[in-house]
Parts: sequence; structure tokens; C-alpha cells
Amino acid sequence: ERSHPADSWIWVLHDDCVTQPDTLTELLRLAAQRPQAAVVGPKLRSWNGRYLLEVGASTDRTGRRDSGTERRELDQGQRDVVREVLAVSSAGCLIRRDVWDRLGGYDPSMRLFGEDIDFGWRVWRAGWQVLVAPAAVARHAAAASSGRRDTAELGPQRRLIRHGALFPLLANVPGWLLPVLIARLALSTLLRMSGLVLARQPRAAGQEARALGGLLGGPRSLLLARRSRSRTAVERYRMIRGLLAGPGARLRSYRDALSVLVSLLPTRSAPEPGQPAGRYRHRPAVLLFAALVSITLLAERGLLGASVGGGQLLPAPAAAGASWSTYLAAFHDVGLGSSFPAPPALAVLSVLGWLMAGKPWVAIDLLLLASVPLGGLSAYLAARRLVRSRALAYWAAASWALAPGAPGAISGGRLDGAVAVIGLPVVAVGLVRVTTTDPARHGWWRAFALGLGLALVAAFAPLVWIVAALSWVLLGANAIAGAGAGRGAVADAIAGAGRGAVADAIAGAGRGAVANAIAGEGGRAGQRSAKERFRGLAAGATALVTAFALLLPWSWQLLSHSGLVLGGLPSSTPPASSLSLLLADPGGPGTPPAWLFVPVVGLALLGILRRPAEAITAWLFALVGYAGALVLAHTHAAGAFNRGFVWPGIAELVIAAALLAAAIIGADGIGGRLAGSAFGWRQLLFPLFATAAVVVPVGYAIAWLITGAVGPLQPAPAPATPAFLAAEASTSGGRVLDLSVPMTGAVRYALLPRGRAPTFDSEQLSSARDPALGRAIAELVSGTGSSTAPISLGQADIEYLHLSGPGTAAADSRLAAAPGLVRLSGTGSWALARVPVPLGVLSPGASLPLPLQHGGGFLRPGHLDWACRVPAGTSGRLLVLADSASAGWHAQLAGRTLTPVTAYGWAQAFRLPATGGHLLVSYATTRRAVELSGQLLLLLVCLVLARPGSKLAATADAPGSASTDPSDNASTDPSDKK
Amino acid sequence: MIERPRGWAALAMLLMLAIVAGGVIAGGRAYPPGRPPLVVPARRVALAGAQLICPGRPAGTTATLMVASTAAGGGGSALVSPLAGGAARLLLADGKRVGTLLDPPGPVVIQARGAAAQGLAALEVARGSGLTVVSCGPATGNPRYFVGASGMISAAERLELDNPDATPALVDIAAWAPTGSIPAAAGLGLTVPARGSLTVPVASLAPDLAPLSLLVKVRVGRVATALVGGSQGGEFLPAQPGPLRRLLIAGFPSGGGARSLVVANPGARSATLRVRVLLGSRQFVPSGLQAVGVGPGGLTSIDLTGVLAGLPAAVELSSDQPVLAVGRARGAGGQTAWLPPAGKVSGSTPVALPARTATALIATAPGAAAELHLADAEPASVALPPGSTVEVALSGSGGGEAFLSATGGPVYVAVKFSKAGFALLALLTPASSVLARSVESDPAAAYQSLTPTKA
Repeated sequence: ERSHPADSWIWVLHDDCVTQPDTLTELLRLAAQRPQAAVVGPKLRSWNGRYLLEVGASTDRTGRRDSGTERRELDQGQRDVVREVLAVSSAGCLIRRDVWDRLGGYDPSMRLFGEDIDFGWRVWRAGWQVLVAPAAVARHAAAASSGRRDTAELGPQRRLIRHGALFPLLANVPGWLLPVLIARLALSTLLRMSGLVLARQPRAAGQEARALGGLLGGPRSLLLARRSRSRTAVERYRMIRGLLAGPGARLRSYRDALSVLVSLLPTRSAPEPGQPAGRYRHRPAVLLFAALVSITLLAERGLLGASVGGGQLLPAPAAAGASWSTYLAAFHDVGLGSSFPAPPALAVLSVLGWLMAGKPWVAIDLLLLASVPLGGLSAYLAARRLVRSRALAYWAAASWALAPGAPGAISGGRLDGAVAVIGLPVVAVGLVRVTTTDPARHGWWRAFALGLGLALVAAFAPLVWIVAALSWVLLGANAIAGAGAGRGAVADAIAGAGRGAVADAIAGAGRGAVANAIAGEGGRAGQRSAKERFRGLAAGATALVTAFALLLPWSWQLLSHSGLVLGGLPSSTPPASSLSLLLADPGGPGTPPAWLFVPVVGLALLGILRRPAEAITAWLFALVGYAGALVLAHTHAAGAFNRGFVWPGIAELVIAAALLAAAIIGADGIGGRLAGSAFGWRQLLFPLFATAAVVVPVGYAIAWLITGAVGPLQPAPAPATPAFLAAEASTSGGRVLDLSVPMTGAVRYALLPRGRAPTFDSEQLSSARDPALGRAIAELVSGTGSSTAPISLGQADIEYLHLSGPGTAAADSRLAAAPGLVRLSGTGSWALARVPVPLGVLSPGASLPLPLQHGGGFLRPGHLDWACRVPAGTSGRLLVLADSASAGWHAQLAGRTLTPVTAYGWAQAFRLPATGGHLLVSYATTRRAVELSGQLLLLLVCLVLARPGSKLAATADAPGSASTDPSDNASTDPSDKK
Repeated sequence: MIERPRGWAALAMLLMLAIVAGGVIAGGRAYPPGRPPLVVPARRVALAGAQLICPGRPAGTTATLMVASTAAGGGGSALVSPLAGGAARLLLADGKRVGTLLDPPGPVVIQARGAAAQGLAALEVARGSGLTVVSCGPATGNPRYFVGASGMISAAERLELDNPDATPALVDIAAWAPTGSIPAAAGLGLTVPARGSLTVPVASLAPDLAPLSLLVKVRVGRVATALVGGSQGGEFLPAQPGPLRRLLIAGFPSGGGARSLVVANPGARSATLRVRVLLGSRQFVPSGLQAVGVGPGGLTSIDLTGVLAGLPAAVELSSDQPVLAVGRARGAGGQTAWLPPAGKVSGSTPVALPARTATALIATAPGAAAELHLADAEPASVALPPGSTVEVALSGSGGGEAFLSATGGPVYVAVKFSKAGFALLALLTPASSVLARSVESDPAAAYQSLTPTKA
């Protein structure tokens, strides 16, 4: 019977599919050649006819449909081969009438999706074949799966698709495979659901669950379907198994989905949709960037190509892997040992370092040295949101990038300042946009995206977060003032009493002014409802909280370490005068003359004349920044053993940003106004103002080029510790105390565990300081002859004392006064001394512990988990570690947990019983692991939430082709092409 | 853009200008620019410990070790123990300021703790064929110079190196004669054993050469150095820390005998120096000594016997290059005594009054007038007119030590020991406190040139 040619065929066509004149002929020709074939399907193309949509169809064991093509694959005849396939799409397929009748046609319980797979499977089981005839071509719009067909009456589309995917599997696999299949489907459903929840599609996740639950929960229809199918089945599963898609197809589809997502990104960020591609060199933005890069390269001629350090910047860690493991570690071998959480900037630098061939120094160099062009780019993007005139945006960008902030940050080795130069414009405009627009209309994702960006900047410059929080308060006051009728807070703040015509007038203009200016929403902001305003404020608060939460637990620790918030290592350079501070000049090395900023102040004042409300708001920010700068510039970071001036640079950046904004907002559109009015004094003054404006960036650039990036920052600073000493200390495991001795003034010291010089991260990690150690060092270098000072050094496991600097000879002779210190060697420029033995078991009444023996030598464990044997001794003994006390330390002696105590006021110690035994010391890393997992989870959630919430525009060319499902993301499958 | 009334906008601009100007002025008032940088005021802290090493007494002599501490409050203790280790003896305790030990066993270490360390000084007075007065000094890793040493076999001078530490010390000794540097392989890489001493005959470094200057450089560890010997035996040549451009050699005693000055130039450039004499109340530059040249690495001896004419005197040297100098005076019995560059008397200074010797002070006040005050000795005070040098005989009131202090000044003092020998000792006020250096934790200190070298 099977070999008999059919006398009657059914040709199935959809209302959204179009065939070619020879489609049927080709289908029938193949059917005639292959009498075994019961179903023959055409090659399906997209609506525009360019892409392959489907060449036969199959399913893998989780129900994912495989179309046999890649996403957006151009049809160049590469798939034109007659193939046996599990199924073909019902659009345009040819089916033997007798087989159709015998099998009962498509299963009516499946609506729209998956019935073709099921039918094809049944055809194979019944002993017939399903073929694809590539010579026959049809175009298909896939109206149902692209959402163009209204399928609402049938139920939620995702559920239909999923049902259509699962049902053929469950109805057709042999009974012995069913338990495995159900387990696999349940697992894949769970995974898909969690992906959908992360993608903020909980409803879709519910539909996934209901699709599977509906099938398994009401097994009667499934059992009936299985029974009816087994009646017509003659072939075994083994025969059909080869037609199912393997895991390779799934990987391919993931890759395709990802590439589509990636291909969508640039279309969203392209700022000038009207510009033809490939003509970048004619765009002034590119020219501006290129000019800033050239100026930077020339000015930093002495710094390029090496790991920079100096000023407030310590050199970069050696390798990205090392800095990453420092970030993950619970306890850091820095200084006296520190359980302070590693700064998130280290994680950012590690990731950047990996991208830079595993070299974090390239990442630091890039952030610091390229802050001028990157800051210019960022300022340009921000300025374009403020003003229509491109020329003004270029001017503002160039002035921002070359204003004293960035060159000062570079010369002073201020990575926080450099990152703020890059990040502040975008974050500031983002904050204003998020806070002054209604998130219900524009999407909450912007709040989370802002939070991520703010976290990224604040990881390096925590002060930026405080600036953002203050700005939020100001914007909130502005919004509340606008929401209330009549007078506003802005006006009150300016006019003081809030009385009189001027104050009233400013208040009237002040309403929603920022929203007007920055969101570019015209007068609409004035009419925003109170609810919208508060939603906007809530979105701003969300961003602030998100940034804070992302940086936990480090951000929490900063609350009690104000010195770190203010910018790490204090500087010995006094800040600028109060007038220079107003002119956006933080002072310090490498900054151009402050008076170059005067035209900006003038233009910002003139801005009040043209756009009073916006300009006054900007001035308010500038004044708050100025107040902050005055406070910062005259704050002394005076720790127990570290003093200096706080850098007011971040506040200076706020002043520069606010005044530049006021200037360009005031000047926006002035050209058109002047051209439109009669010739008069305005036209005469315009060239004067324009020249003054041009002087600003040009003057800054010339000043920077002339002086170059001079300052404490220098290329490749060499460690003071000689290499032989570093090698010796890394073998012995003791700490090296590096003393830098000037002729007069403070002696500076650094603790080098294992002879390793401190790197970028050490500055924050070693914030826990030991005053006793500082006192001991002061006594040693003063030569008081104190016998306790060398003991304090021994207690800290300082094995070597290394002196360098011009005052070495004098300090060396004073060191000789200390009993017990062994002077090893030295010249006039450096000297070396050894401190006798450290760490171990401390007997009652002793000041130095007896060393623990291990394999014939002293034990200097130096890592977090170690073991050794402790001999029996007297009671009241202490086991003393030379690491600072932390709740994470645990010790066990012969299985008994020892009581932790603190020795010498800082060191971790445990009470030892008189009995000896096997000692185990460990540091609990669970807490850090939990913190890191929480941070990772929060980051993932924020990344998902910060995904633009609007529907991604379909990238397909023609309305009917719909080759991508817009709501799909990487975790969902390419669904049926209905 | 909606047109706005102009008047109030201009007013707002002026208002802002006023606020800004006010802010700058107020900011400038509240925080005047150019404030002094943060500097910790210099403060002095009392010494908490001190260690002095006394060299072994010359063979065939009897010696007295005299230890004094100027601490006013008392307290603390000073122990003396043999350098090689062994039983320690308590010399100072319970507020006792003076202690003596007869016939110390070879080189000894004096270790003071607490208040006893403040102003600790020790002296060894040995009697043999002559009189030897050796002051005890600390062990140090710094270079030490000896000018005027002699490589003559007959002089039998020897350099004693004492190492109080538990690890061996490594020392190099270089020698210069008037003709220049001497390749002294014998002085290279000398090991001073832990808690031990090494005696190096000067004749082994520069045989039959005199005068010499020696440089003791400590490569590893720290040592105390003393040069003793001389043709009469028991001459003590004090060490100098390093060359200077201005030097004052104070304490040339009255009486007959040769007086001279030995000047060494350890540098690589020729030095031209001027010698000014402070004699009685007169100050003058002797003819021929306006410009004395000393070649690089050279050594020269200037005879002052005629110029000083047996009067108490001081000699001031000023040179265009850093030089080393020492004064030499020959006593009536032919014994030579040496005077290193003087340090001014700045506080309470112990003066030893050994039994069976005559002690005299030779004091110089080169500038302003000054007055010396003496406790436990007669006379109780000595007035010094400006620019004068006087010699005053002392008589003790018991206890073996007097305590000297000065007002006005500066004052430079040397002590002359005569009767049964001849010795001179330039007085130096022992430190009772040190200038505390401030210390800051700074990770950048681990990198060369990343830390500021100035405050």
C-alpha cells in the first residue's frame, strides 16, 4: 500500500503565507519521486523573501523547536537539499490524503502551535516519511508568533506555544522514556521560569508553569492521545530518535539570540540617527575626541607606557588575577592584616585588567591618563541633553575636560577625581532626568541604570554618591516647590525671606525649571501632577539606594571611615585659595591658571538674564559645591599617624559642571535670536563673549601642553625595598617595615607583608592602624633607646627594618640606640636592621612569644589556614598571631576550640591550655562568601532591571517578515513561525 | 522660549554676583589662604635607655670606671657587665647619680634604663707609667674618623673595636698619610666577633707612617671604637664623626710643651683653611695661617707652640671644604694629649675628678659672655668675658664627680688632668633627651621618590 502512488493530496496553506507559481509542481514532483513520503514541505522564507525561515522542523528533548536554519540566515541555496525531517511547517505543506485520513489529521487539541511537529512524528511512527523539498518555496509572515495575529481568545500566547512544544513530546515518546522526559521537562521549565522572572516577566513564567502543569495535571487527554497514536504506530522510537534535534541546535539558538541582542545595542545608543554611517571623520564630535586625545598624548608625554604611581595613587597590582583574589579574600595580608572589605573599585579594575590582557595597570592608566578625552566625551553626551546647539556642547565638553579638575587629578594621581571627571556629567544628567520625569511613563529601568552607573563611579569616588544625594535633595526641594502653588524653595533659598516681587518671580520661574531645561519637555513639566513628581523623586531615591546597596558591605564601612570617603591618602599640598576654589581650581600640582575660568563664571551670570530659572538652579548647585569645596579644602585628615589635606577636587568638579551648564543653557539659541533681531549693541557684544568663551578651553589646553602632566605622578615608581630584601622576606614570611626618612619633617612608614610593596588596594585595606606600632617607630627613629620599641616591632612580626631617604644616616645612628635591634648593613642612603623573632606562644609575664617550631624552623604561617604541634607548657599561655584581631579567626587544639582574646591591644590571640597537641588555625570565609554572593545576585538583578524596558524595535526590514520575536530574550526559544 | 520681564532677571544676576563675592570674601576670611602646613611642633622626649662601651684598660695599669648620670629626678638603673657576657653589677640605682668600679674586667658594657639613661657619661681613668683618660662611647654603625694616629712601631697605637651585639660585625678600616691614601688591605673585611672585641695595631695598617688619619666604616652591625697607645703609652685619641667646614678646638692648656694642630682633608678637593686663635682675651689670625692648603686625601700638621706661648687657648678653623682636625698638646712629662673638635656645654655635664690627680677646666666663650656653674666642686662659678679663654683649677668636694652647667655662652670646655701624667678631655654634654620625630603611616613610603622629602 505504501509504495502505491497517492491519488489524492491535501495542500495546507495559511492566510499569512504566499507560494510561488511552481511551488505545488515542485512539491508534487518530489512526492512522485519518493513514494514513501506522506508529507512534503516547501522551503519557507521570510516575508521579504531574503531570509530562510524554516527548512523542515524538529524538536529537541526539551521541546525547543529547531527550524534547521540560523536566525536571519540569508537564503543563498545553501540548504537546498532534499532531506528527511521530523516534520515540516503546516504552511504550504503537501499531505497524502489517505495518510491524513488514517492518522486523523492535525490534533485539534493543539491550537496554532506545535501540531505540525506532532503530525510529522505520527507520520514517521506510522511508517511513512516526511521530506522537505527546497525547490518549492513559500513566504511566511509568521503572524501568530510575532504577535500580529490576535490569538487572545485562544489563551495566553506563551502558554499556547509551550503547550504546543511539550505535547508532541509527551504524546509520542515511548512509555519507558516518559519518567525521564517529565523530569527533564520539569527542570527545563524551572530554568526557563527563573530566567523569565529575572527578565521581569513573571506572567510569562506563570504561563510556562501552567503549560506543563496543565499537561501533567490533567493526564486524561494525554493518555487518550498516547493510546490513539500507538494504534497507528508501526515504527520503533529508535528509528525516529535520529530525527530529533540534539543539544548543538540549542547552543546555536542561544548564540543566535545573543547575537541579535548585541546587534540591537548600537541602534539604541546611536545619538544621531540622521547621520549616515561611515562618515565619522566629518563629525565634529569625533574631531573633538581626537583633539582631546592628541592634547592628552602630548601633555602626558612623560607618563605613557608604564604603570604610573605617585601622589595619591599607589601602583597597580601585578596581575588581574591577583587583584581579583584580593577582592574575594576575607582577610587581607596588608599592613597588620585587615578584615576590611576590599573596595569594589578593585573588582572593576580586575575586570578591566582582564580586558587589558590581564594587566590592571593598563586599566588604571587608561582611567587616569585618558580621563581628559573620556571626560570630554561624557560631557558632550550630557551637554547634548541640555542644549540644542552642538557648538555649545563641544565648547562645554572641551572646557570640562581641560578644566583644572582632570589635569589636577592626573598630576596628583587621583583616580577618584579622574573617574569622577568621566562619570559625573552622565550621572548628573541621568539623575536630573530620572528625578524630574515620571518613571511610570519612561520606565523604571532608567533608575536602575543610573544606580549601576552611580555605583561604578562611587566605587572609585564615594564622594560622588554624596554629591548625588545632595543633588537629589535639591531637586526634591525644587519639585516640591513646583508642586506647591506660588513660592518655591529655590526662591526662598535665594531671596532669604522669600518676600517681594523678585523672589516671587524667581519662584514662579523656578517651578519645574530643571525639568524644563534638562528633560527638554517644554512647558509640560510645569503641569506635571504631584504624583508624577513624587514618582520621579522615588526613582531618584531608587538609584541612590541601588548604588549604595551594590557597593555593600564596603559602602557601609565607609560610614565609619570618613577619611576614605574624602579620597584616601591625604595630600601634603595645601589646597587653593578661596577665590581659586570658586574658579573650579582644586589647587595642587598640574592645574592650569585658575583665572581662565573667569569667562565661564561671566557667561553663567549672563545665563541668568536669558534663562533665569534654569541658570539660578545651576548656580545653586555651584554654590553648594563651593561651600563643599571650602569645607573640604580646609579639612585635615588627621588620623593617629597620618595627616594631610583633603582634596577638594570633587566639589570643584560640581562647580565646573554647574557653571558650564548655566553658561550653555543661557547661550543656547542665542545665534538665532541675534540673527532675528535688528542690529544693535547685542550684535556688537556677541563676538566679545564668543572670544572670551573660546579662550577657556584653548587657554586650558595651551597651559596644560606647556607645563605637561607634571606632579607627583610618575611612570614606573620603583619599590624602595631592595630586591634581595623582598626575596628574603618572601621566603622567611616576615614583614618588612619601610621607613622613608626626610632630613626634617615626618618619617613615613609602610608595612610590607612578605616584602610585597603595597599596591592600589592596600591604601584602603590598611586603614586599620595600630597606634602602638606608630609610637614604637617614632621612638626608634628618634633614638630614645627604648627597650620596648623593638619588642613592639617583634610583636607585629616585623622582621626587617629598611630605611631610605636623605635622613637615613642620622636615623641609622639613632636606631643603634635601640637594644635588641640587629643592624645588618647600610650606606648613607639606606640602612637595614633585623628585629628578633615574633609570633608564637606567649608565656605569662613575657613580652615576646616563643616561636612555634615547624619542621626544624620557625613557623611563620602567613596564610589563613595552618596547622602545627604545640608543646605542653604552663597554664595561662597565649597563642599569638601577628595579625590584627578579627571575629573570623578560629583555633582548635586537639579538637577543642580555643577562646579568642586580643593581645597587645590589636593582635589576634587564643588562650592555650597547659596541655599540648595538634593546633589548627583557620579564618572563616563564610561571611565574605555570603557578602560576595549577595553582591553578585544584586548586580545580576540590577542588570536585568536596568535593561531598557521598552519593546526593542524589530530589526527586520519588512512589516511581515518578523524574523525575531521582540519579547524574546536569550533564554526563550525561537518559537513557531505561525 | 517665553519672554520674561528683564528687570528682575538682571536683579537676580546682581544678587548672585553679590552672593558669590560675599562667599569668596567670607571664605577667604574664614579660611585664609597660605596657612602654614601641618607640622607637628618639635618636642623633646627623655631618653629611656642608653648604652656605653668602655674599652679595655691598657695592660699593666690600674683603672677606675666612673659613671655619672645627670638625671635630676633619679630613678632607673645602670648596669655594668663584661662585653663577653657575665655577671652584671649595678652601678647606678635609686637616684644615685655617680658610681665607680675599680679595675673593670676588660671591655665593659654600661646599660642604663629609665632616668639613669638621661645624661649618662662614663670615663675610664687608668694609671700605669702615665695617665690614660678614656671616655666611653656608644656602639654605632656610623663611620668614625681618627686624625693624628701613628703607624710607628714605637708608638704602639692600637684600635680597639668592641661589638656589644649578638651578631658579628663587619668593619673596614681605611688609612691616609700626608702623602695620600694608603692601600691597607689589612683593614678590609675585619670581623668583630659577637659580644667581643678586635684589636688592630695601627702599625699593621700603615707601617712606619705618621701622622695618619683613619676611617672606620661599619658594614654590618655596630661597634664602639677607641684608639689608645702612644710612645709614652696610654694616650687616648678620640674619634670624630665626620668632616666639617667650621671647627673649634678648645682646651689648649697652659704650660710648656709643644702645641700643634693636625688637619686632614678626606674629600676629593683641595681645602683652604684659615686658623684663628683665641688666646686669653685676644683673638687673632697668626701670620702664615691665613690660608693653609690641604690637598685631597691629605694631612698636615700646623705647629702652634710659639703662637700659643704656653697660655690657655682655643683655635677656630674655617675651611672651604669639610675637614677633620685635632689639637695636640704635650705635657711636662712628655705625654701627648689630644683634643677633638669641641661640642658646646648645653646642659648639666659631669666632670670627673679622679683621686690623686689635679683637675683643671679650660673654658672658652668665643662669642657672648658666659658663666660656668659647678656643683660638688670648687670654685662654684667661673665668669667668662666675651671672647675669652680661661683655665681654672678644680677641687672636688668628694664623690669623684662634679656637675657643670653654663649660662650665656656658648661655652666650650676641656678638662686637663695632670700630676702623675697628662691627659686632656674635651667635655661633651651627654644627651638626656632626644628630639622626637613625628611618624606617619603612608603606604607610598614603600616606593622610592613617592614620598615627599620635606614636611
